Amino acid sequence: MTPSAGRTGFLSREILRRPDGDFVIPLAGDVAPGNWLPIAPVDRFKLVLRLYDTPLTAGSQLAGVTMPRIIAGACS
Amino acid sequence: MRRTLLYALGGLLLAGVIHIAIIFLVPYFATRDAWSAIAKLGAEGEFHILPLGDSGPDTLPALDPRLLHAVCRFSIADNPIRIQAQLPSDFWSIAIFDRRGRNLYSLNDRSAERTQLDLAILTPVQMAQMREDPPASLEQAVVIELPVQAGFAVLRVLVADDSMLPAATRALQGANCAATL
Repeated sequence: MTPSAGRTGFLSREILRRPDGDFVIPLAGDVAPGNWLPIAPVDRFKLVLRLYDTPLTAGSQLAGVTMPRIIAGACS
Repeated sequence: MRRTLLYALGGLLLAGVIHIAIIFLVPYFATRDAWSAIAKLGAEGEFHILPLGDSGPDTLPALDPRLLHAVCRFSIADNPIRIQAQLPSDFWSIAIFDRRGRNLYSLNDRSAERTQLDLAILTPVQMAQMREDPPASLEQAVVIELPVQAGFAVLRVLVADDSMLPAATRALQGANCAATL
């Protein structure tokens, strides 16, 4: 998939966060405020969360980790 | 009784058909691994830089579009090798895989604590020989022993934004995976 805006993802250091450290990434074909991730008009796509050099790689710490939620929005 | 025999015979025939079909598919699957994909990029003992972003289904799939990757096939059957590179001060990592793509070793900017990558790879026999008379040139190097004859190395450099791409490309172009001890 090649998004039109040339943006394919975010790094933790560049993403816009709310005061409590959370972040929201709107995925949409149309421009959206915040961390907009443009998607091409496709039926299926894959979202990948990659963690580099993280203490999580030791499997014992995987419990209690909150993964990002994916919430389906409405069609516009 | 007769019906049971018939079913058994039918089952055997079906198993035969599936078996033959699988055998014919072996060459197709056997050449669709990371080792073969890297072999198509060029010679052994050199780093080959993969295009940034989705490099397509024929090379290595699902690479991170924010990292620039260079891959190198190596053989330590005859002589140990040494991987050297001068890397940016941002995130980078080197990972060593065996012939079948299993990860054997990895090192990143934080665990190395410097931007100069110097990693010597030896077989257990070469390691035993080296211990008898350690060369002074290895004083600064990370020396690892791997139980394989051949494998490949993947060097990843973070491209935080487009302006970092030339520096990342230069770093990977300068990377050497066939230096001697």
